[in-house]
Amino acid sequence: MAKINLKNISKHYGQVIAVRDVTLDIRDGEIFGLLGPSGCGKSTILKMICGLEDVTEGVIRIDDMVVNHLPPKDHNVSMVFQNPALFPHMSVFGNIEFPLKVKGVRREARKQKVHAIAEKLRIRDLLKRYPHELSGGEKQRVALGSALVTDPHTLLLDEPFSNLDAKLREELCREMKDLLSTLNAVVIYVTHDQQEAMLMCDRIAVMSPGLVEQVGNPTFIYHHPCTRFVAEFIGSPCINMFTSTIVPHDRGYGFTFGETVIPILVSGIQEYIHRRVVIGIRPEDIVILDDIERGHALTCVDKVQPMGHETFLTLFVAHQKLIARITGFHPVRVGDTVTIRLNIEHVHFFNEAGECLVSTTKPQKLKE
Amino acid sequence: MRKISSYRHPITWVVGDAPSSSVSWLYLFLLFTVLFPLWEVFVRFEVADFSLFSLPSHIATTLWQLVTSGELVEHGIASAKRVLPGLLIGTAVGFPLGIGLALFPHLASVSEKVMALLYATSKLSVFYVFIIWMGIYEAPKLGITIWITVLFQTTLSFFRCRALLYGRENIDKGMHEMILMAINMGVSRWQLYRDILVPLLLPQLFFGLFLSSSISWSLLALTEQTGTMRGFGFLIQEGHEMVEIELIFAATILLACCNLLSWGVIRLIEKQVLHWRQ
Repeated sequence: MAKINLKNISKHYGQVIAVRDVTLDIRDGEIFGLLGPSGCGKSTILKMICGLEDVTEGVIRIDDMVVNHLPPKDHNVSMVFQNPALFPHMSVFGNIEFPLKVKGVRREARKQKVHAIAEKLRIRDLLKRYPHELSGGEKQRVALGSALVTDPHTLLLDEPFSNLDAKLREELCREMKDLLSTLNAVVIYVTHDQQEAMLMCDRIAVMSPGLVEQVGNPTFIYHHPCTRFVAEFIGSPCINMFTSTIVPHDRGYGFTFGETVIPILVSGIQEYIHRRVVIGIRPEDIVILDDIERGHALTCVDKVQPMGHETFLTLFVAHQKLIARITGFHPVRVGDTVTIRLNIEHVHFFNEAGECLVSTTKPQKLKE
Repeated sequence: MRKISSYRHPITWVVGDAPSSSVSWLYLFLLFTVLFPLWEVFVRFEVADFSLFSLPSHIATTLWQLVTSGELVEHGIASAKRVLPGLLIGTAVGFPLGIGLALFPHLASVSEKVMALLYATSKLSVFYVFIIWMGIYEAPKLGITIWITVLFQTTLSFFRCRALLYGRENIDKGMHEMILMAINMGVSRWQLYRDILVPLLLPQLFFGLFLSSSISWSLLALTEQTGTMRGFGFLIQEGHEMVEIELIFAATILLACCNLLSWGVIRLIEKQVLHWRQ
């Protein structure tokens, strides 16, 4: 049982600032994801939490105790690295047993614990093997085993599955999610893969280089990105962004989309009238219609990518590229003209600095 | 014709196929059956000077005489006694010492410089110092092998170990992460030494053995020139004094064979010990 609190953490390497003024509250028993592109400081934050890197500025508390200057072992935190760091000269049993040996646990107790954890991770048959005889997924399980065997109150996972192929990754993710939620531990999970984060984590923090952009429930963040960076980072294919102008429309306001003006259903955008904004709309919120009357624009299909269970269409509206995601197979072909309609319940407005002004998604549907 | 199922290395598209092992042995055989008769003919017809180049047949006869008279075994054992214990003692001392030094930063900072100095010191002058200290007989001959082995093993394991501990560029990232993981677990210096560094650096030990074995065997040609009547080095010396050039050739070949033999043995032991490598 533990909670982790980072307050105004910064990390400098000489002139380079790797992490800038990060504040995070990680609650007891949750799986917390740190999500961001490569090199944004995720791993550095992990290393600071477990004490392998010192903190330039700020305070790290584990269970209300400041751990900044404690040696790594007193953080009582287990870490699993990206390349499963198994000792090649030890068998699987030896690898899982080693942390217990370090802690001075008696031989009998060690044996018992190793077998218990191997049972849990379903690697009992592998105990006698050596790391070079294991597959990538098996190695990762063993690494997890050696991290869990000491019953740590905090488990840090640094892109644990990024070296595995997609199918195996998903499989392990599901399995680990079940396993991790049975533990009495805080899990901090670093990844650059947003699907993995959404699958595994209770809450995530999205990071741009050195900064935490937004913290919250993954679904909430998906629907309420607070910056353009977050909106573009979360979701695949990437959210569509196009520039537009806010204009008066009927009794309220609207934004221009090609030659049409689309009404805005929420307030909070008044001061931007006659100014340029950036509109974000997710690919699944662009709908193809047969009915020209109800459509927002007529466009020519530039590219069709059938993915099996869905189809991606690349379209151009007023020289701006849009990607639409259609469920199932769609018989449209390149060069066809289609009518599209934007789902105005899920539109995000950003100013030119990239801050989200307002999202039309109804907030009461989702809790942070 | 190439078999369809056989694996083909991509570089063969540029440089062509490698010969099979039987063909490569055949090449070697051809080389000798052409080279030696040619050499023999050249010398016999006095194209080359007999006193400088000897005759392959004479060298072969000399080798054969060494075998039949039992001298080969006698000299071989004498030489091996000056090399093999040295390699063992030197490794037993040097390898753990190098890793141990790396684990004490203050000691390491000094030994780094001292090692560079010692490594650069002439092995020959050390031999002459040993003669003055220990007399001209067996002690300095074994001593110099121990010295060379300790020097190689210490230096190699020390620098490799430091790179591993501090995560220098020439170490692969996964290896350094192992160390980080161990720090995270809270290993003591002794546990790090015994359970992780010594076994992880074992490949380095064998590399050190290869090196020191080569240098030690070849240095015999020099160290056995004084204070002994046995050993291949002594044979070379004798050949030199009696102007028996075929004896020099024969002893040189034998020294090379001994070196190759030690490599083979080291390889064999390496395979046994490092079974955990792919």
